[in-house]
Amino acid sequence: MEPSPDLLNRLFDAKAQRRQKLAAMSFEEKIDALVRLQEMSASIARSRGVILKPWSRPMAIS
Amino acid sequence: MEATLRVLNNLERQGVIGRYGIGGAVGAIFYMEPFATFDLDVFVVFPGSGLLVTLEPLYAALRQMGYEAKDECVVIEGVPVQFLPAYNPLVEEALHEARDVMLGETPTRVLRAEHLAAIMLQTGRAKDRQRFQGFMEVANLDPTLFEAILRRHQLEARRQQWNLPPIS
Repeated sequence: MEPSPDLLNRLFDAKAQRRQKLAAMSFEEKIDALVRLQEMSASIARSRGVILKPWSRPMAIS
Repeated sequence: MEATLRVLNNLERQGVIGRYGIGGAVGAIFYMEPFATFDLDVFVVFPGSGLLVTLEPLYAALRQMGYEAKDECVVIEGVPVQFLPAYNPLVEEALHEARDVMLGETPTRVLRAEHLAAIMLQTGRAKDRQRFQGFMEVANLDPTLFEAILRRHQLEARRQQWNLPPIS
């Protein structure tokens, strides 16, 4: 059974909207998210024996 | 990262570097959704730059502050920073027109979205092309400004090569 074009359109629209929402975050929130992404990447890389060092996260983001 | 920016601001204040601006992936993240990157690319004008630009005085100043250069990168307060001297008229213009922004309590500068996109086009690596497409979808470029930059720096042919229509 294939997903309907309508469902696919809704999913792709939601994805595009999420990107717009993320792009509209403040610089502080984006750097915080970037460090979280680094931490995730570092944890995956560590399992392959690669050492990556995430930046520190000194700012308090509410 | 604020601590890193404070070091950059001090270097600029002390005249070790001239005007600086954040470019590369972190510059792009200012305008688009965050993605993982581990380097901070900083474009720099060097004071009194002659024909031959050397990073040695900057590296020496950083060394005195306890930050060692390794593989063309200096880890400043935990962030690997790559200093890129303004290497052509497009980058010089981008630095001149970079936006003053704040990160937390710390002032810094980020290249304008239109210049970042033009630099991606000009640099032209596979990763620039990939990032360019996502960037153009969400970065809300000023079409007039972007088109003028492309004309001024002869980048329209590259855009055609990448099969990208003018933005409207």
